[in-house]
Amino acid sequence: MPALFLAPYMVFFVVFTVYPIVYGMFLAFTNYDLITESVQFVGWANFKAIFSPDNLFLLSLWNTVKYVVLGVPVFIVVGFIVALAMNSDIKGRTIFRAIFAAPYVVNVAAMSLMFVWIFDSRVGIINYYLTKLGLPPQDWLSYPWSALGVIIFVSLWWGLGGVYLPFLAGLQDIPHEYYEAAAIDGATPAQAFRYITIPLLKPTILFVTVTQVIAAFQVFGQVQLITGGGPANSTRVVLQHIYDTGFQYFQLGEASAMAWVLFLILLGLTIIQFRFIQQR
Amino acid sequence: MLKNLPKILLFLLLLIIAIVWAVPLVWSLSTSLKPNAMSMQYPIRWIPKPFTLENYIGVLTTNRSVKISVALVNSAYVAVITVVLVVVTSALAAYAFARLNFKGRNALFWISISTMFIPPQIMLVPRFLLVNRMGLLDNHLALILSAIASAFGVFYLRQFFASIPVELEEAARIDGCNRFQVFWKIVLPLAKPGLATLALFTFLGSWNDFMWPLIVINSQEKMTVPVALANFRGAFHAALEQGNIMAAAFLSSIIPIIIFILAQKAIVKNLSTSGLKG
Repeated sequence: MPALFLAPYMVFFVVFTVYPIVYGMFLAFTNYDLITESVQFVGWANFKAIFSPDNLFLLSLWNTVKYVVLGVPVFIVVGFIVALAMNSDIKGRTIFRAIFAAPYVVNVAAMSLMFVWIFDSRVGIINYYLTKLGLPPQDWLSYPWSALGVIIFVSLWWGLGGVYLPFLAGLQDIPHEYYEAAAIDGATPAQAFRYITIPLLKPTILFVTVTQVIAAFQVFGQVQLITGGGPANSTRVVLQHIYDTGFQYFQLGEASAMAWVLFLILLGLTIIQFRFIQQR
Repeated sequence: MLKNLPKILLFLLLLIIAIVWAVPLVWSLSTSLKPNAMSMQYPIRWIPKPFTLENYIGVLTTNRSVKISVALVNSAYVAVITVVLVVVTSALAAYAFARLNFKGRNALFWISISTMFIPPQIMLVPRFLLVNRMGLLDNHLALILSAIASAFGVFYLRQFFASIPVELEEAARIDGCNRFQVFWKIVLPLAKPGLATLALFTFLGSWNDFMWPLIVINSQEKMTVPVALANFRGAFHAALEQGNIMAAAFLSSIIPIIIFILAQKAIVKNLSTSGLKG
């Protein structure tokens, strides 16, 4: 009887999840030729190849790290501020909620088209208002740092819901009595914030940080469609490089190796974050 | 909470942020409702005058290589079929994990859960090869079949089923129902909110999926919406036909937005516990 309930899920689980995971591990050590469908075991060759200087893998890792290190703190700070504001007694909460949740339903391609238009150097609305304010219009996508900034902003716009909502839930879970007791004892709001809010939010902060870092490492769509990895490969991220290697050049073994290196990096980072935030 | 901090300050800050957040969608909508030539005129007009639907009509009836109308239909039926199959398989499995006793139940469940934490790009290449060997490249089945096994769906629904009082099921069994009838008549109706939420998220996930359809679907007439949009700037001129491009972008979001509005509460509640956007 349990078998009948489980079977449909299990069949697809084994075929489309378990098998690919295992097979992917194996593929990283092979030279799979798509045309002849032949598999050739090559040991560590793929791993050596992707770390070599003429492969863009290290560069794309570095670009991704730049994006994560600069972007995730921005996502968390902005999300936290929004959560604080939404937690207080403000009017129009439903409208605000709708505004901040709307980006979630937009797909990455539509969003990228929108922001390419907005950041256009000649006819985009941002440069339009910049010139109106007397500031110089920017060639947003033509310079490495501004291109990175655009991607961070777009990702912030798109993913705010995923940051502020967990924080809001965490804030709402803190019992009012704690703050009341603190006020009676003469604590300032700053002290209440430091000794009540932050410690009680630690699990949420950990959760949000970990999930945002993991998600940020896997950024793809908006980079592919807004900057294309440019200018001059300065915004080329890991997933983009994996996509190119595996599905434009069909170096499937190398792409598999890259995916596994990325996975190990994420695993290590997650463990580090758990340790670090637990201790603070 | 921050009682002495002027609430006005916080509200103003929120207002500024909200305006920044709303501008992209509002401006894009405005562009889509203006004639193409007008979108490049100075000074900028926020409210389209003349207001026109020609961009939407143009994009839906176009003869060019990218047809958003076809993509919308593709995305719709892939999403609907995926949702039905995901909810059915997840519900059945979740019930087994929640209520049926069998050897290795916990181990199997934890194995399933653990795969939720594995980044999907590990499976890109092997799944591609698998789908290729099945002869399903450039076939919508590749999208549907690979999405059916939802570890998250099983995890999520199991919580729901576990919270339904066992007494209700036991009463039904005493009355002569077999397991499946209990599942069908008692448990499922009580779990409707959970089923609806899962359906919602699965729909959005399927509709908005970009990388996998990009890899697997090659022909124009099979493309789902995000992939079609990715090719849009090739078919429509960026500077001269921005109105059309924005219209297509909006068309792609209308169905998700409608679904979202219909179930806003469910989404807000669920995002607060999972919150991911790549």
